[in-house]
Amino acid sequence: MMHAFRAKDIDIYKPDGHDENFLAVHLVCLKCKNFWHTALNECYLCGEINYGVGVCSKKHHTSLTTSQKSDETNQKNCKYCNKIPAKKCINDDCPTNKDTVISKIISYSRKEQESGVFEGQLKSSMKISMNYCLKCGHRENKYLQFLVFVEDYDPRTSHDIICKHRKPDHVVIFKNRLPKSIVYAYFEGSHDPANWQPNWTELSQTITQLFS
Amino acid sequence: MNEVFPINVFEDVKPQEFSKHNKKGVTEDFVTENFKELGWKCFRPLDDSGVDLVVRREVCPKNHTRWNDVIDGKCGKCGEDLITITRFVQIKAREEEDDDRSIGITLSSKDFRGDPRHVFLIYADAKTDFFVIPIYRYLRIFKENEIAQKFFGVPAFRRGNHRVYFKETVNNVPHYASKDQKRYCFGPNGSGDLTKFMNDVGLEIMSDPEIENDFVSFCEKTSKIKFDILHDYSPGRELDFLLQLKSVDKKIKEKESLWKKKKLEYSKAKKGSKKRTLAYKVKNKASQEKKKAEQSKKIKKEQLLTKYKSHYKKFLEMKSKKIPREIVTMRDENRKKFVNHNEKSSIEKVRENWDTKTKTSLKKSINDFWKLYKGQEQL
Repeated sequence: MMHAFRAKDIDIYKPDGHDENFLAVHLVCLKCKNFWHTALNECYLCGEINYGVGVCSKKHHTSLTTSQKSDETNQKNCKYCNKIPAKKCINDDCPTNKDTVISKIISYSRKEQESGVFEGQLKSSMKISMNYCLKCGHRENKYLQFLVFVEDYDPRTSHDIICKHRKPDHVVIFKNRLPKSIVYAYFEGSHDPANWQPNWTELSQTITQLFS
Repeated sequence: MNEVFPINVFEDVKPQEFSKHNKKGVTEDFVTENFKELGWKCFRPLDDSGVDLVVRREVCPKNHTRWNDVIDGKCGKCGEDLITITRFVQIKAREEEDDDRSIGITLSSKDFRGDPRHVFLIYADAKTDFFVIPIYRYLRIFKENEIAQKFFGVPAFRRGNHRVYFKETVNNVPHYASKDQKRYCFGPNGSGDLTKFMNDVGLEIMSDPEIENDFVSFCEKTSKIKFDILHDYSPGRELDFLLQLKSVDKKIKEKESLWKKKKLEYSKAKKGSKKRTLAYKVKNKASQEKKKAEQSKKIKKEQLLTKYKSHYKKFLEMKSKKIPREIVTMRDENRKKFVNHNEKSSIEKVRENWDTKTKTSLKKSINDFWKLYKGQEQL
């Protein structure tokens, strides 16, 4: 069960003891609940994010994740002009591309292909962990967390079980073993157990619904 | 219940027996066991997620629960139903550095979350002291003492290799500390003080349910202070190359060598002789000229620093003034380039098939990237 959450990039925390539950946590936008990725960098001066794309001196964009490396340079060269692309900010209006003083500072004593905003950790000081939500652009974030309890579904006992979990961050995931498959439904502790009816889906859908 | 926090939960081994290569798990265990001793429920990460420990506990919503109280169900003082608080603890364990009795930690921008429940636990393992500092309080110390720029605004911080040192001092005992208590400070003249976040006092601050009682407001305050601090630019040593001022340096060197020469002549001259008196005057004049050249460099350096600082400030202010919609629109506009930007190339018109392949690969790359960082539509 915990690995199904990991497959959705949700962090899992196991209890240090014998408790039969676990914590599922992800940092999300406070306004729209879209996932927040602290490992994703944005440009320090304009806020554009790193797309994993290289830009050569002739402003051609090259994929840095799929293009093949050149035999000679062992780098991912631009296919149009064969130059080595830098991990620049893709915003043409960004001061790192437009302003001569800033460009001079970031390219000082570095090769052209290493003068990008999103170069490796120690090479660039023009990047910062994301500050704006990817979906709505707000700056506030919070940990969305659920204490997850997994139970085998039995219609005779399910109501008693959910009544025990009427706490804001508790979630009970019911597992229903059908002859050829397993389906899942969940109850959120912040909801009223009187109106609860199981909505059976696959586990991945259940997790997506929970964190949306 | 415990009278002291933290206690040595590992009686069979001393913390000093570990090296930095094998102490990580030990440190987390040490911290976890200490929280468990006080009745906190502890959760450890399945993978490395930046948060080393999640702790939960029931407390009185009116903050009547002390750090070592044992309570169940209702508050013994006011009878209120207890609420569960959760804290996301990032543990930074460091040996105390012997030379200047300080603890050094390195935090990068991704360690700063907007959730006020995020807590830094800095652990000086040689002394078994815990500094328990909620993120909002941590940021406020820097902001209120006007030392944030030096720590968060410098390029080294954004490169992820800027170390902050908390130094031990015994002077200026503050009102909340006993006379024999040592203080841990940082910044110029020790203006930032971490002593009040030590051990049980820090734990008490961390357990305050004020965050839960006004959660959205705390989130907004934490995010704002975090954004402001991270965007308060300071050049650090980044502009050194522009400030080397070669001609001025050359002039200073010339003056310095002249002064040294004259100083030598003066020391060699016979005491009481006219030559010595004359050499004395020449030496003093050379010294004054050297100082003047140094002063001139200092002024020029300050002028340049101010100029570059204001240059950055202009762009950072533009960034901070952007409303959410502007950021989203800017990103959407830029993403469109991935679909059609390379079409402008004349080479593409010649090698049509090859370039279509490139275009598809670029699009796929972007989409793959966005599968990882969900939030925007696929191209």
